[in-house]
Amino acid sequence: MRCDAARGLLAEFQLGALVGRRRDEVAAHVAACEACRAELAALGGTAGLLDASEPLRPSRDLWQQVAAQLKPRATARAWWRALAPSTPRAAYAVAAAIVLIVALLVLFPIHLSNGPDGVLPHATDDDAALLAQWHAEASLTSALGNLPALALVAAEADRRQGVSPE
Amino acid sequence: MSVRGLAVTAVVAGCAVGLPTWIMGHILDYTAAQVLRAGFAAPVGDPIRTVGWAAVRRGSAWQVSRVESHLELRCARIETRANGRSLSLLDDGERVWVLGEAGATVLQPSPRKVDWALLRENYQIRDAARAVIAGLEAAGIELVCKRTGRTSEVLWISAAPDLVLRRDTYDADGHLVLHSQVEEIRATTFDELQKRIDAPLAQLPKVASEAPLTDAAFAEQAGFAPARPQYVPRGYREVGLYARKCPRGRTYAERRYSDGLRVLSVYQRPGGGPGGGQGRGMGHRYGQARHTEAAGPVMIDEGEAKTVRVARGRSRIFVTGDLTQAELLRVANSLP
Repeated sequence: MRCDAARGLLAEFQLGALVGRRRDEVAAHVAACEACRAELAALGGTAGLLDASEPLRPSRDLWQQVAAQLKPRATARAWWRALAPSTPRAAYAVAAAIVLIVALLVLFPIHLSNGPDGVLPHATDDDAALLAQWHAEASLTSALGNLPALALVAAEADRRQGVSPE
Repeated sequence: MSVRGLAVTAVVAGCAVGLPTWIMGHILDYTAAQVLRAGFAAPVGDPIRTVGWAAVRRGSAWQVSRVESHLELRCARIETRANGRSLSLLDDGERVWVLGEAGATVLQPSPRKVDWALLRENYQIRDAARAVIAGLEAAGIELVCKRTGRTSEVLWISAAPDLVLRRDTYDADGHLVLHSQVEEIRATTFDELQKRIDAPLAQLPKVASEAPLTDAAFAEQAGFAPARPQYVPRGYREVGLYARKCPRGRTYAERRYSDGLRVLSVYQRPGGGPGGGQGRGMGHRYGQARHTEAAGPVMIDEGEAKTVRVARGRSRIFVTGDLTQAELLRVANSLP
Protein backbone atom coordinates (compact mmCIF):
# COMPACT_ATOMS: atom_id res chain seq x y z
CA MET A 1 0.00 0.00 0.00
CA ARG A 2 1.31 3.47 -0.77
CA CYS A 3 1.49 6.26 1.77
CA ASP A 4 -1.17 8.49 0.15
CA ALA A 5 -3.65 5.64 0.17
CA ALA A 6 -2.78 4.63 3.73
CA ARG A 7 -3.10 8.18 5.11
CA GLY A 8 -6.65 8.42 3.74
CA LEU A 9 -7.55 5.45 5.90
CA LEU A 10 -5.56 6.27 9.05
CA ALA A 11 -8.42 8.04 10.85
CA GLU A 12 -10.75 5.09 10.39
CA PHE A 13 -7.92 2.70 11.36
CA GLN A 14 -7.33 4.70 14.55
CA LEU A 15 -11.05 4.53 15.45
CA GLY A 16 -11.17 0.79 14.71
CA ALA A 17 -13.64 1.29 11.86
CA LEU A 18 -11.59 -0.68 9.31
CA VAL A 19 -12.08 -4.43 9.07
CA GLY A 20 -10.68 -7.35 7.10
CA ARG A 21 -8.09 -7.01 4.42
CA ARG A 22 -8.09 -3.19 4.43
CA ARG A 23 -7.24 -3.13 8.15
CA ASP A 24 -4.40 -5.63 7.60
CA GLU A 25 -2.96 -3.66 4.73
CA VAL A 26 -2.98 -0.37 6.70
CA ALA A 27 -1.47 -2.12 9.72
CA ALA A 28 1.34 -3.61 7.55
CA HIS A 29 2.05 -0.22 5.95
CA VAL A 30 2.17 1.61 9.30
CA ALA A 31 4.55 -1.01 10.65
CA ALA A 32 6.88 -0.45 7.73
CA CYS A 33 6.53 3.36 7.25
CA GLU A 34 7.96 5.79 9.77
CA ALA A 35 6.06 8.81 8.51
CA CYS A 36 2.69 7.13 8.59
CA ARG A 37 3.40 5.74 12.04
CA ALA A 38 3.99 9.33 13.22
CA GLU A 39 0.77 10.48 11.58
CA LEU A 40 -1.14 7.68 13.30
CA ALA A 41 0.32 8.69 16.64
CA ALA A 42 -0.81 12.29 16.08
CA LEU A 43 -4.30 11.12 15.24
CA GLY A 44 -4.33 9.06 18.40
CA GLY A 45 -3.71 12.19 20.43
CA THR A 46 -6.57 14.04 18.80
CA ALA A 47 -8.97 11.15 19.34
CA GLY A 48 -7.95 11.04 22.98
CA LEU A 49 -8.85 14.70 23.35
CA LEU A 50 -12.29 14.09 21.80
CA ASP A 51 -12.96 11.18 24.13
CA ALA A 52 -12.05 13.29 27.14
CA SER A 53 -14.50 16.16 26.32
CA GLU A 54 -18.06 16.20 27.73
CA PRO A 55 -20.77 15.83 25.10
CA LEU A 56 -22.77 19.06 24.55
CA ARG A 57 -26.52 18.89 25.09
CA PRO A 58 -28.91 21.54 23.68
CA SER A 59 -30.62 23.78 26.20
CA ARG A 60 -34.33 23.32 26.83
CA ASP A 61 -35.26 26.64 25.30
CA LEU A 62 -33.11 26.28 22.20
CA TRP A 63 -36.14 25.53 19.97
CA GLN A 64 -38.03 28.58 21.23
CA GLN A 65 -35.06 30.74 20.34
CA VAL A 66 -34.87 29.23 16.87
CA ALA A 67 -38.62 29.47 16.36
CA ALA A 68 -38.58 33.13 17.32
CA GLN A 69 -36.16 33.86 14.52
CA LEU A 70 -38.12 31.98 11.87
CA LYS A 71 -40.26 34.16 9.51
CA PRO A 72 -43.92 33.23 9.38
CA ARG A 73 -44.84 31.15 6.31
CA ALA A 74 -46.22 33.15 3.41
CA THR A 75 -50.04 33.50 3.45
CA ALA A 76 -51.95 30.89 1.48
CA ARG A 77 -52.48 31.75 -2.18
CA ALA A 78 -55.95 32.99 -3.03
CA TRP A 79 -58.01 30.30 -4.79
CA TRP A 80 -58.25 32.31 -7.93
CA ARG A 81 -54.48 32.66 -8.02
CA ALA A 82 -54.24 28.92 -7.99
CA LEU A 83 -56.55 28.80 -11.03
CA ALA A 84 -54.74 31.54 -12.88
CA PRO A 85 -52.60 30.33 -15.74
CA SER A 86 -48.94 30.25 -14.89
CA THR A 87 -47.57 31.19 -18.30
CA PRO A 88 -48.52 33.85 -20.87
CA ARG A 89 -49.36 31.11 -23.39
CA ALA A 90 -51.80 29.51 -21.01
CA ALA A 91 -53.34 32.92 -20.33
CA TYR A 92 -53.91 33.50 -24.05
CA ALA A 93 -55.42 30.05 -24.41
CA VAL A 94 -57.83 30.64 -21.49
CA ALA A 95 -58.84 34.05 -22.88
CA ALA A 96 -59.46 32.55 -26.32
CA ALA A 97 -61.55 29.74 -24.84
CA ILE A 98 -63.70 32.23 -22.89
CA VAL A 99 -64.29 34.38 -25.98
CA LEU A 100 -65.20 31.32 -28.05
CA ILE A 101 -67.63 30.07 -25.41
CA VAL A 102 -69.31 33.49 -25.22
CA ALA A 103 -69.53 33.67 -29.02
CA LEU A 104 -71.05 30.18 -29.20
CA LEU A 105 -73.59 31.03 -26.49
CA VAL A 106 -74.59 34.13 -28.45
CA LEU A 107 -74.85 32.20 -31.70
CA PHE A 108 -76.54 29.14 -30.26
CA PRO A 109 -78.36 30.14 -27.08
CA ILE A 110 -79.02 27.30 -24.70
CA HIS A 111 -82.66 26.32 -24.53
CA LEU A 112 -83.73 25.37 -21.06
CA SER A 113 -86.61 23.01 -21.46
CA ASN A 114 -89.40 22.65 -18.98
CA GLY A 115 -89.08 18.92 -18.93
CA PRO A 116 -90.51 16.23 -21.13
CA ASP A 117 -94.16 16.14 -22.00
CA GLY A 118 -96.40 13.14 -21.87
CA VAL A 119 -96.66 12.77 -18.11
CA LEU A 120 -100.38 13.50 -17.98
CA PRO A 121 -103.06 10.98 -18.90
CA HIS A 122 -105.09 11.94 -21.95
CA ALA A 123 -108.81 12.52 -21.91
CA THR A 124 -111.63 14.09 -23.87
CA ASP A 125 -114.14 16.70 -22.84
CA ASP A 126 -117.52 17.66 -24.25
CA ASP A 127 -116.44 21.22 -24.88
CA ALA A 128 -112.77 20.63 -25.66
CA ALA A 129 -113.16 21.12 -29.40
CA LEU A 130 -115.12 24.31 -28.85
CA LEU A 131 -112.52 25.70 -26.45
CA ALA A 132 -109.76 24.84 -28.91
CA GLN A 133 -111.71 26.56 -31.66
CA TRP A 134 -112.18 29.70 -29.57
CA HIS A 135 -108.50 29.68 -28.77
CA ALA A 136 -107.50 29.18 -32.41
CA GLU A 137 -109.76 32.03 -33.49
CA ALA A 138 -108.26 34.29 -30.86
CA SER A 139 -104.74 33.29 -31.90
CA LEU A 140 -105.25 33.60 -35.62
CA THR A 141 -107.04 36.92 -35.59
CA SER A 142 -105.04 38.74 -32.93
CA ALA A 143 -101.49 39.94 -33.36
CA LEU A 144 -100.10 38.75 -36.69
CA GLY A 145 -103.30 37.13 -37.85
CA ASN A 146 -103.19 34.23 -40.25
CA LEU A 147 -106.39 34.38 -42.23
CA PRO A 148 -105.76 31.44 -44.58
CA ALA A 149 -105.21 29.16 -41.57
CA LEU A 150 -108.15 30.77 -39.81
CA ALA A 151 -110.37 29.91 -42.78
CA LEU A 152 -109.48 26.25 -42.33
CA VAL A 153 -110.14 26.34 -38.60
CA ALA A 154 -113.49 28.03 -39.16
CA ALA A 155 -114.39 25.53 -41.87
CA GLU A 156 -113.60 22.64 -39.54
CA ALA A 157 -115.70 24.20 -36.77
CA ASP A 158 -118.51 24.70 -39.28
CA ARG A 159 -118.31 21.02 -40.21
CA ARG A 160 -118.38 19.93 -36.54
CA GLN A 161 -121.45 22.04 -35.86
CA GLY A 162 -123.06 20.64 -38.97
CA VAL A 163 -122.64 17.03 -37.87
CA SER A 164 -123.31 17.70 -34.19
CA PRO A 165 -126.51 16.12 -32.85
CA GLU A 166 -127.31 19.48 -31.33
CA MET B 1 -48.70 28.19 -36.05
CA SER B 2 -47.70 28.82 -32.44
CA VAL B 3 -50.06 28.53 -29.49
CA ARG B 4 -50.07 32.31 -29.17
CA GLY B 5 -50.97 32.67 -32.85
CA LEU B 6 -53.83 30.20 -32.46
CA ALA B 7 -55.08 31.99 -29.38
CA VAL B 8 -55.02 35.40 -31.07
CA THR B 9 -56.80 33.96 -34.13
CA ALA B 10 -59.45 32.43 -31.91
CA VAL B 11 -60.02 35.72 -30.07
CA VAL B 12 -60.31 37.68 -33.31
CA ALA B 13 -62.60 35.08 -34.88
CA GLY B 14 -64.80 34.98 -31.77
CA CYS B 15 -65.16 38.75 -31.75
CA ALA B 16 -65.70 38.91 -35.51
CA VAL B 17 -68.53 36.38 -35.42
CA GLY B 18 -70.09 36.84 -32.01
CA LEU B 19 -70.13 40.59 -31.70
CA PRO B 20 -71.92 41.44 -34.96
CA THR B 21 -74.43 38.67 -34.27
CA TRP B 22 -75.13 40.06 -30.84
CA ILE B 23 -75.46 43.58 -32.22
CA MET B 24 -77.78 42.41 -35.01
CA GLY B 25 -79.90 40.49 -32.59
CA HIS B 26 -80.16 42.99 -29.79
CA ILE B 27 -79.64 46.46 -31.14
CA LEU B 28 -80.56 46.57 -34.81
CA ASP B 29 -84.00 45.40 -35.75
CA TYR B 30 -86.38 45.37 -38.61
CA THR B 31 -88.84 48.13 -39.10
CA ALA B 32 -92.25 47.71 -37.60
CA ALA B 33 -93.86 48.04 -40.99
CA GLN B 34 -92.24 44.91 -42.33
CA VAL B 35 -93.72 42.70 -39.67
CA LEU B 36 -96.93 44.62 -39.12
CA ARG B 37 -97.63 44.05 -42.79
CA ALA B 38 -97.68 40.36 -42.06
CA GLY B 39 -100.54 40.82 -39.64
CA PHE B 40 -102.98 41.64 -42.39
CA ALA B 41 -103.77 39.68 -45.47
CA ALA B 42 -104.66 42.83 -47.34
CA PRO B 43 -102.01 44.74 -49.29
CA VAL B 44 -101.65 48.49 -49.30
CA GLY B 45 -101.15 48.58 -53.09
CA ASP B 46 -103.46 47.67 -55.96
CA PRO B 47 -106.25 45.16 -55.36
CA ILE B 48 -105.31 41.62 -56.27
CA ARG B 49 -106.53 38.05 -56.14
CA THR B 50 -104.37 35.25 -54.84
CA VAL B 51 -104.77 31.52 -54.99
CA GLY B 52 -102.84 29.25 -52.70
CA TRP B 53 -103.31 26.72 -49.99
CA ALA B 54 -103.20 26.42 -46.23
CA ALA B 55 -102.49 23.45 -43.98
CA VAL B 56 -103.31 22.95 -40.32
CA ARG B 57 -101.84 20.08 -38.34
CA ARG B 58 -104.34 18.08 -36.29
CA GLY B 59 -102.48 15.56 -34.20
CA SER B 60 -100.38 13.51 -36.58
CA ALA B 61 -102.46 14.40 -39.65
CA TRP B 62 -102.71 17.54 -41.75
CA GLN B 63 -105.83 19.23 -43.00
CA VAL B 64 -105.01 20.90 -46.30
CA SER B 65 -107.24 23.14 -48.35
CA ARG B 66 -107.00 25.59 -51.21
CA VAL B 67 -107.60 29.18 -50.25
CA GLU B 68 -108.59 32.02 -52.54
CA SER B 69 -108.25 35.61 -51.42
CA HIS B 70 -109.48 38.88 -52.84
CA LEU B 71 -107.50 41.70 -51.37
CA GLU B 72 -107.97 45.42 -51.44
CA LEU B 73 -106.90 48.22 -49.18
CA ARG B 74 -106.97 46.83 -45.60
CA CYS B 75 -109.84 44.47 -46.46
CA ALA B 76 -109.82 40.88 -47.55
CA ARG B 77 -112.18 38.09 -48.45
CA ILE B 78 -110.90 34.59 -47.87
CA GLU B 79 -112.69 31.64 -49.39
CA THR B 80 -111.95 28.00 -48.82
CA ARG B 81 -113.57 24.68 -49.41
CA ALA B 82 -112.80 22.01 -46.84
CA ASN B 83 -114.60 18.79 -46.01
CA GLY B 84 -117.09 19.43 -48.80
CA ARG B 85 -118.17 22.76 -47.35
CA SER B 86 -117.45 26.28 -48.59
CA LEU B 87 -116.66 29.02 -46.17
CA SER B 88 -116.09 32.74 -46.68
CA LEU B 89 -114.42 35.09 -44.24
CA LEU B 90 -114.43 38.85 -44.55
CA ASP B 91 -111.77 40.89 -42.83
CA ASP B 92 -112.84 44.51 -42.56
CA GLY B 93 -109.55 45.54 -40.96
CA GLU B 94 -110.95 45.39 -37.44
CA ARG B 95 -112.95 42.21 -37.19
CA VAL B 96 -113.22 38.94 -39.03
CA TRP B 97 -116.72 37.93 -40.16
CA VAL B 98 -118.09 34.62 -41.30
CA LEU B 99 -120.36 35.16 -44.29
CA GLY B 100 -123.26 32.76 -44.24
CA GLU B 101 -126.63 32.43 -45.92
CA ALA B 102 -128.31 33.83 -42.83
CA GLY B 103 -126.01 36.83 -42.73
CA ALA B 104 -122.62 37.74 -41.32
CA THR B 105 -121.49 36.86 -37.83
CA VAL B 106 -118.40 38.11 -36.05
CA LEU B 107 -115.93 35.31 -35.71
CA GLN B 108 -113.93 36.98 -32.99
CA PRO B 109 -115.51 39.72 -30.93
CA SER B 110 -112.36 41.58 -30.05
CA PRO B 111 -110.94 43.93 -32.67
CA ARG B 112 -107.68 43.00 -34.27
CA LYS B 113 -104.77 44.82 -32.76
CA VAL B 114 -101.03 44.31 -32.83
CA ASP B 115 -99.18 45.17 -29.64
CA TRP B 116 -95.94 45.93 -31.38
CA ALA B 117 -94.03 46.77 -28.19
CA LEU B 118 -95.05 43.49 -26.58
CA LEU B 119 -94.17 41.54 -29.72
CA ARG B 120 -90.70 43.04 -29.84
CA GLU B 121 -90.26 42.52 -26.12
CA ASN B 122 -90.81 38.79 -26.47
CA TYR B 123 -89.63 38.00 -29.98
CA GLN B 124 -86.40 38.55 -31.79
CA ILE B 125 -86.87 39.38 -35.46
CA ARG B 126 -84.18 37.95 -37.69
CA ASP B 127 -83.43 37.85 -41.34
CA ALA B 128 -84.25 34.52 -42.98
CA ALA B 129 -83.39 33.23 -46.44
CA ARG B 130 -84.93 35.03 -49.41
CA ALA B 131 -87.09 33.06 -51.79
CA VAL B 132 -89.00 33.43 -55.03
CA ILE B 133 -92.63 32.55 -54.44
CA ALA B 134 -95.39 32.82 -57.04
CA GLY B 135 -92.94 34.65 -59.28
CA LEU B 136 -92.14 37.34 -56.72
CA GLU B 137 -89.00 37.78 -54.70
CA ALA B 138 -89.80 37.57 -51.01
CA ALA B 139 -87.74 38.52 -47.97
CA GLY B 140 -87.73 35.95 -45.18
CA ILE B 141 -88.36 37.13 -41.64
CA GLU B 142 -88.02 34.83 -38.66
CA LEU B 143 -89.62 35.49 -35.29
CA VAL B 144 -87.72 33.78 -32.50
CA CYS B 145 -89.26 33.51 -29.04
CA LYS B 146 -86.80 35.01 -26.56
CA ARG B 147 -88.17 32.93 -23.70
CA THR B 148 -87.64 29.56 -25.35
CA GLY B 149 -85.04 30.40 -27.98
CA ARG B 150 -87.17 28.58 -30.56
CA THR B 151 -88.45 29.82 -33.91
CA SER B 152 -92.14 30.62 -33.67
CA GLU B 153 -92.91 31.98 -37.10
CA VAL B 154 -91.20 32.40 -40.47
CA LEU B 155 -92.78 34.75 -42.99
CA TRP B 156 -91.86 35.50 -46.58
CA ILE B 157 -93.05 38.94 -47.60
CA SER B 158 -92.89 40.48 -51.04
CA ALA B 159 -92.19 44.17 -51.36
CA ALA B 160 -94.39 44.99 -54.37
CA PRO B 161 -97.15 44.26 -53.77
CA ASP B 162 -96.92 44.10 -49.96
CA LEU B 163 -98.01 40.56 -49.39
CA VAL B 164 -97.32 37.59 -47.15
CA LEU B 165 -96.52 34.92 -49.71
CA ARG B 166 -95.66 32.10 -47.35
CA ARG B 167 -95.99 31.51 -43.68
CA ASP B 168 -94.72 28.70 -41.43
CA THR B 169 -95.86 28.54 -37.82
CA TYR B 170 -94.13 26.36 -35.22
CA ASP B 171 -95.41 25.29 -31.82
CA ALA B 172 -93.54 25.38 -28.50
CA ASP B 173 -92.03 21.96 -29.23
CA GLY B 174 -90.61 23.16 -32.54
CA HIS B 175 -93.11 21.29 -34.74
CA LEU B 176 -94.58 22.90 -37.83
CA VAL B 177 -98.31 23.35 -37.10
CA LEU B 178 -99.55 25.81 -39.73
CA HIS B 179 -98.42 26.44 -43.25
CA SER B 180 -99.85 28.70 -45.89
CA GLN B 181 -98.52 29.70 -49.27
CA VAL B 182 -99.62 31.77 -52.22
CA GLU B 183 -99.13 30.07 -55.58
CA GLU B 184 -100.71 32.49 -57.99
CA ILE B 185 -101.23 36.26 -58.00
CA ARG B 186 -103.51 38.03 -60.42
CA ALA B 187 -104.97 41.48 -60.78
CA THR B 188 -108.65 41.57 -59.97
CA THR B 189 -111.46 43.51 -61.61
CA PHE B 190 -113.62 46.26 -60.16
CA ASP B 191 -116.72 44.12 -60.60
CA GLU B 192 -115.14 41.25 -58.75
CA LEU B 193 -114.16 43.49 -55.86
CA GLN B 194 -117.60 45.02 -55.75
CA LYS B 195 -119.18 41.59 -55.57
CA ARG B 196 -116.74 39.94 -53.19
CA ILE B 197 -115.86 42.70 -50.75
CA ASP B 198 -117.64 46.01 -51.13
CA ALA B 199 -121.21 44.68 -51.25
CA PRO B 200 -120.81 42.37 -48.22
CA LEU B 201 -119.02 45.15 -46.33
CA ALA B 202 -121.99 47.43 -46.83
CA GLN B 203 -124.33 44.79 -45.42
CA LEU B 204 -122.40 44.02 -42.26
CA PRO B 205 -124.56 44.53 -39.18
CA LYS B 206 -123.64 47.20 -36.70
CA VAL B 207 -122.21 45.58 -33.61
CA ALA B 208 -120.84 47.21 -30.53
CA SER B 209 -117.20 46.58 -29.93
CA GLU B 210 -117.00 43.95 -27.24
CA ALA B 211 -114.63 45.26 -24.62
CA PRO B 212 -113.14 42.92 -22.04
CA LEU B 213 -115.13 42.65 -18.82
CA THR B 214 -114.00 43.60 -15.37
CA ASP B 215 -114.06 40.83 -12.78
CA ALA B 216 -117.04 42.46 -11.05
CA ALA B 217 -118.98 42.89 -14.29
CA PHE B 218 -118.28 39.29 -15.25
CA ALA B 219 -119.42 37.99 -11.85
CA GLU B 220 -122.64 39.98 -12.15
CA GLN B 221 -123.27 38.78 -15.70
CA ALA B 222 -122.27 35.12 -15.36
CA GLY B 223 -122.98 34.45 -11.70
CA PHE B 224 -119.54 33.27 -10.71
CA ALA B 225 -116.20 34.93 -10.03
CA PRO B 226 -113.33 33.54 -12.06
CA ALA B 227 -109.96 33.24 -10.37
CA ARG B 228 -106.73 34.62 -11.73
CA PRO B 229 -103.68 32.34 -12.17
CA GLN B 230 -100.79 33.21 -9.89
CA TYR B 231 -98.37 32.15 -12.61
CA VAL B 232 -98.18 32.79 -16.32
CA PRO B 233 -94.99 32.36 -18.35
CA ARG B 234 -92.65 35.32 -18.55
CA GLY B 235 -93.64 37.76 -21.27
CA TYR B 236 -97.38 37.04 -21.22
CA ARG B 237 -99.69 39.91 -20.27
CA GLU B 238 -103.37 39.79 -19.52
CA VAL B 239 -105.44 41.00 -22.47
CA GLY B 240 -108.87 40.75 -20.92
CA LEU B 241 -111.65 38.68 -19.42
CA TYR B 242 -114.45 37.46 -21.68
CA ALA B 243 -117.69 35.57 -21.14
CA ARG B 244 -118.09 32.74 -23.67
CA LYS B 245 -121.19 30.59 -23.98
CA CYS B 246 -121.20 27.14 -25.52
CA PRO B 247 -124.21 25.63 -27.33
CA ARG B 248 -125.00 23.49 -24.24
CA GLY B 249 -125.67 26.65 -22.26
CA ARG B 250 -122.53 26.51 -20.15
CA THR B 251 -120.83 29.81 -19.53
CA TYR B 252 -117.06 29.89 -19.58
CA ALA B 253 -114.86 32.65 -18.28
CA GLU B 254 -111.96 33.17 -20.65
CA ARG B 255 -109.03 35.05 -19.22
CA ARG B 256 -106.84 35.77 -22.19
CA TYR B 257 -103.12 36.49 -22.16
CA SER B 258 -100.77 37.37 -25.01
CA ASP B 259 -97.04 37.67 -25.53
CA GLY B 260 -97.54 39.77 -28.65
CA LEU B 261 -97.78 36.79 -31.00
CA ARG B 262 -99.25 33.82 -29.18
CA VAL B 263 -102.39 33.66 -27.07
CA LEU B 264 -102.81 31.82 -23.78
CA SER B 265 -106.42 31.17 -22.75
CA VAL B 266 -107.48 30.18 -19.24
CA TYR B 267 -111.08 28.93 -19.31
CA GLN B 268 -113.06 28.37 -16.12
CA ARG B 269 -116.37 26.56 -15.85
CA PRO B 270 -118.27 26.54 -12.56
CA GLY B 271 -119.72 23.37 -11.07
CA GLY B 272 -123.49 22.76 -10.90
CA GLY B 273 -126.31 24.27 -12.97
CA PRO B 274 -126.23 24.52 -16.74
CA GLY B 275 -122.63 25.58 -16.62
CA GLY B 276 -121.50 22.73 -14.42
CA GLY B 277 -122.10 19.64 -16.46
CA GLN B 278 -119.76 16.71 -16.37
CA GLY B 279 -117.33 16.10 -19.17
CA ARG B 280 -116.51 12.65 -20.40
CA GLY B 281 -113.10 11.98 -18.97
CA MET B 282 -111.46 8.78 -20.07
CA GLY B 283 -107.93 7.61 -19.57
CA HIS B 284 -107.36 6.50 -23.13
CA ARG B 285 -103.71 6.00 -23.09
CA TYR B 286 -102.75 5.00 -19.60
CA GLY B 287 -105.63 2.87 -18.50
CA GLN B 288 -108.98 1.40 -19.35
CA ALA B 289 -111.83 3.66 -20.34
CA ARG B 290 -113.89 4.88 -17.42
CA HIS B 291 -117.17 6.72 -17.64
CA THR B 292 -116.38 9.10 -14.82
CA GLU B 293 -114.43 12.29 -15.17
CA ALA B 294 -110.81 11.98 -14.17
CA ALA B 295 -110.11 13.76 -10.89
CA GLY B 296 -106.49 14.68 -11.56
CA PRO B 297 -105.07 16.89 -14.30
CA VAL B 298 -105.47 15.55 -17.82
CA MET B 299 -104.27 16.45 -21.27
CA ILE B 300 -106.90 16.99 -23.93
CA ASP B 301 -105.79 16.38 -27.49
CA GLU B 302 -108.83 17.57 -29.35
CA GLY B 303 -108.59 20.61 -31.55
CA GLU B 304 -105.70 22.70 -32.79
CA ALA B 305 -104.03 23.49 -29.48
CA LYS B 306 -102.84 21.64 -26.40
CA THR B 307 -105.17 21.86 -23.45
CA VAL B 308 -104.67 20.84 -19.82
CA ARG B 309 -107.73 20.38 -17.61
CA VAL B 310 -107.68 20.42 -13.83
CA ALA B 311 -110.51 20.22 -11.30
CA ARG B 312 -111.18 22.64 -8.44
CA GLY B 313 -114.00 21.07 -6.50
CA ARG B 314 -116.79 20.85 -9.06
CA SER B 315 -115.31 23.61 -11.18
CA ARG B 316 -113.13 22.85 -14.16
CA ILE B 317 -110.18 24.84 -15.41
CA PHE B 318 -108.86 24.52 -18.97
CA VAL B 319 -105.57 26.09 -20.01
CA THR B 320 -104.93 26.27 -23.75
CA GLY B 321 -101.93 27.75 -25.44
CA ASP B 322 -98.71 27.27 -27.28
CA LEU B 323 -96.75 26.07 -24.27
CA THR B 324 -95.24 22.80 -23.14
CA GLN B 325 -97.47 20.48 -21.15
CA ALA B 326 -95.49 21.24 -18.00
CA GLU B 327 -96.02 24.98 -18.42
CA LEU B 328 -99.75 24.58 -19.10
CA LEU B 329 -100.06 22.46 -15.97
CA ARG B 330 -98.12 24.99 -13.93
CA VAL B 331 -100.49 27.76 -15.04
CA ALA B 332 -103.52 25.62 -14.23
CA ASN B 333 -102.21 24.61 -10.82
CA SER B 334 -101.48 28.21 -9.92
CA LEU B 335 -105.17 29.06 -9.82
CA PRO B 336 -106.31 29.31 -6.22
